[in-house]
Amino acid sequence: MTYFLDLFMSGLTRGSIYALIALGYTMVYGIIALINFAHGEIYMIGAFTALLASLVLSSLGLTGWGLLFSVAAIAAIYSAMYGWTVERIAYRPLRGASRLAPLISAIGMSFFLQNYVQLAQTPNFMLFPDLIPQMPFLKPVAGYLNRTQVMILLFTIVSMVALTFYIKYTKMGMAMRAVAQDITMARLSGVNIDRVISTTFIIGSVLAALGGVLIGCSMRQIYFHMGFLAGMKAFTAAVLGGIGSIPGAVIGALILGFAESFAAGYISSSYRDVVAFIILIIILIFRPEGIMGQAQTQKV
Amino acid sequence: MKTVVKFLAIFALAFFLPFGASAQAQETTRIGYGGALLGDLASYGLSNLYGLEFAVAQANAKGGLLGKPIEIVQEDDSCIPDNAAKAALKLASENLTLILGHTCSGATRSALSAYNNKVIMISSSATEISLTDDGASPYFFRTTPRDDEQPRLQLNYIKQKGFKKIAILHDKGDYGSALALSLQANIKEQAPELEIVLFEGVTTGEVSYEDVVSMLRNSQAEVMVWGGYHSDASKLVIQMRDKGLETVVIGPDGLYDQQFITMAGAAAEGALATGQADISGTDAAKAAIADHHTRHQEEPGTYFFYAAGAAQALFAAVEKVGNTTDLDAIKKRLQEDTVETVMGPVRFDAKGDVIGAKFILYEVKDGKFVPVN
Repeated sequence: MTYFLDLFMSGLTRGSIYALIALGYTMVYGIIALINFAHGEIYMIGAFTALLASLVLSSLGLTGWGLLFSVAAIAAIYSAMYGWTVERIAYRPLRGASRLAPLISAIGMSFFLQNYVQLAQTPNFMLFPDLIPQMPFLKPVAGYLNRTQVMILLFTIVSMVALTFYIKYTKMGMAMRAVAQDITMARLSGVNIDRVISTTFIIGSVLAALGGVLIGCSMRQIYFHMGFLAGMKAFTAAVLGGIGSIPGAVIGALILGFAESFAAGYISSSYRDVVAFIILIIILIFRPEGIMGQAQTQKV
Repeated sequence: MKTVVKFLAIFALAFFLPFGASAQAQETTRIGYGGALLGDLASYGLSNLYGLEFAVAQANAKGGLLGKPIEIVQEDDSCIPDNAAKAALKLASENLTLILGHTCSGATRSALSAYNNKVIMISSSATEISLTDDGASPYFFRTTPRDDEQPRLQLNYIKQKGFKKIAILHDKGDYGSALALSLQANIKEQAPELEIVLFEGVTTGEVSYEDVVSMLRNSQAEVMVWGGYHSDASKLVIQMRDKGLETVVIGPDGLYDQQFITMAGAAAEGALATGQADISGTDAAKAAIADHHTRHQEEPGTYFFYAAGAAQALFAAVEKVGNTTDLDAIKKRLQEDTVETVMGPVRFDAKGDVIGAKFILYEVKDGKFVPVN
């Protein structure tokens, strides 16, 4: 039973990280039907920014929770600027072009950002500081739940709730839903499309950056290529849940996280990806649009 | 007009650079270096390159090789087999016949097939057994001891400490999985009373190793033997200690690098690793260490002496033969002559392995690898 709980918790945290990144993919796809392959790189940039910010802030004497939250805030803001800029220079000029053009542009942007960090920062693994303060109250459950997992779950739940409220109850959220439904109609009704799209990229980047900070704290090491695998897995989760659907991305991410964790634990970690992707294939055979997705014929 | 001029300038640069390089190359004896200079295993590759640079500087101070100063042509492979083949093709296309490298076993294997037996190659860090054992590469030599000794040492330690339950994890790479399988075979043959409770390949580069840690805890292993490099081991060890798992960790020479301790921090304490025996005690070695301090402001890396020794043995052989192209003659000299080098006397056996090199067991104590008695 403890083994099950142990695997359950590691699947839950794994899934939460995928969810934070998958939301960015799914929101962007929902609004402009673009698969933003540079999204995994934003996650990586979030982690690098957090590393730099933590070095500066801790030398200024900041510690504990204050340090963690200010580092996360700086990483989120900085990555949001990246997300916004990427959209401005790589996708907006191609908005009228064929669907494949922005896709290629996205792949190019991903390579560019990776190599840029490799050259401007470092090609090596960087040591990431342990930003999460000790939590003595976790002693009784130390076997299967540690403080990084608690923080990952907490951050994820809070961001999900905040995002749901934002989309349901704010004007911008309403505009987003309108654009997702019908971009031409939304424009005719006076919605500022460019602003909605920019906001979407900013929100997606903030979530990815938080994911980067949390994984940095958990793995204690970051490097320029870390966004690739995480991005791929998150993208898979978004497709599994039905790309374009926000609750779908979260559900897809959790399913993927659990599948990987249990497959590794009960079968073999060598077969983890095999099992995870067999599940993906089976779900897509029976529901080609994903678990929560709506059948659409027009998009890529 | 301006853009036309710019284009012309770029074309001119692109065309003249290679000419410049080949014009300069004629007055030197060139030796290729292939190995990791970038990536997470760069620290290994750099220690190889620094060793080569040291040997070259010493030789050049005495008039170079074949009467000409020695020049190093370096190519990075980041320890990725694909890149190694590309790096090898590039070095081969420059008509190099003497290569020092490559750094990692998997990369070395793919480089060997790319060189296609047209170069003399000495590696100072590729330890995987079959590289010399399969006899497919007659011109491949190495100054590092081979992997078959590492599992034996690890098993001895496990028996000595009385551990009964053993977990073997590896990174699914050439080097790591070969080590893991070899330990498994060793245990089955020599110590069937020991129980292998977990034998797993771990996907590297994942967002989390927590499930591997869970499996490790569930297996109740007393000792975890890692087959692979320090870059993944450090992350695994951090997550193990984070989750309160105190399992003893033993690694191969892929873990024996100061970088492991830097990355894993306090979690590295108490970890064990088999590594190349310390040879820094001789006068020649002490002088080399002092030289390394002035050049790079740090202690020599893991393979520094092995690379310098490899280069010195190679230079001696080439000097005797009198050219760099008669591979069979150079091979003969490497196998017959004993050369006094920084790493001690160097001579190779018929397979291409250096005679007399060995591994010993190290333990991390207070942030340093110290030999275990």
